[in-house]
Amino acid sequence: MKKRIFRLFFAWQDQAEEKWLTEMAEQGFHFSKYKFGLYTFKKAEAADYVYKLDYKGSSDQDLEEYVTFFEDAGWEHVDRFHGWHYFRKVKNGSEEEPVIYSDRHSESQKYKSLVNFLIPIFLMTVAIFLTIIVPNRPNASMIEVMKWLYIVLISMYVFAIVRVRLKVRKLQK
Amino acid sequence: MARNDSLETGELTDTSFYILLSLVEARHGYLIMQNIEELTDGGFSIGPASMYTTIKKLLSAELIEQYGDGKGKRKTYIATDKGLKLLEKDIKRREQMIFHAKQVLNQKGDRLG
Repeated sequence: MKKRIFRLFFAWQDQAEEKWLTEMAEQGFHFSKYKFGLYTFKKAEAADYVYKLDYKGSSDQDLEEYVTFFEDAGWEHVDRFHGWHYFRKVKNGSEEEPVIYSDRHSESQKYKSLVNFLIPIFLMTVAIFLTIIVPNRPNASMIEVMKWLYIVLISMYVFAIVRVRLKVRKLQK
Repeated sequence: MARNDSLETGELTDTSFYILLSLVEARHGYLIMQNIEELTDGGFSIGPASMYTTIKKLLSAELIEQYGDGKGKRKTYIATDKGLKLLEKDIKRREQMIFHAKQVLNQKGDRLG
């Protein structure tokens, strides 16, 4: 039996999300998939799973190596959504809560690369905001500048997306 | 990079210290983990995400490098000359810290005794 739950967590709520998935497993709902806020659970025996989320901002080139690090430490790679990776491990009663980050320094890197992902989205939002505000001003040259800026930005994005997709296609052959 | 970045200031975090120490000989991730656990009698263990992040960091700082063809899911790494130098420097720094601590505690012990 499958159960689907829609729930939104913000980028800084990864620990709350881990806790929720762990609690769901205690009730026998085992997380299996995530897409755009939609969680899929499989109903089975309750289990003492510990769920952890990692954010991997770098390319997928070394994905296999990355996942192997976790598997070697006894973690199961359950799913991923963009840069977010979901891992789980069975918790032995006596054991301390297992962690994927054992020091603060490397854990801070996780959030650093998350910020690096959020900044371009923020800048795009600011750009959209400015284009909505700017036309109300009688400053025509500003609109002209924005127009060209957008043409350059859009061309760059189209170019980037096409190039990256070509890479994907090449790798999937 | 951020000012608190320990590699920039030439200091190793405990995690980088033990990984670099393990890579005096060529090893892959799983063997590094095992080596550290054996070496410290299970007292120090590194989580997989910390292991991955720190290895990438040491790689980009050229303190370690890939060893062999790098095929397969487990890549093998080894410390570079630059890495070995920094390790030695960090061992001296840590020795100094222990020396200072012992000095202070021994003096205190003398006074009490």
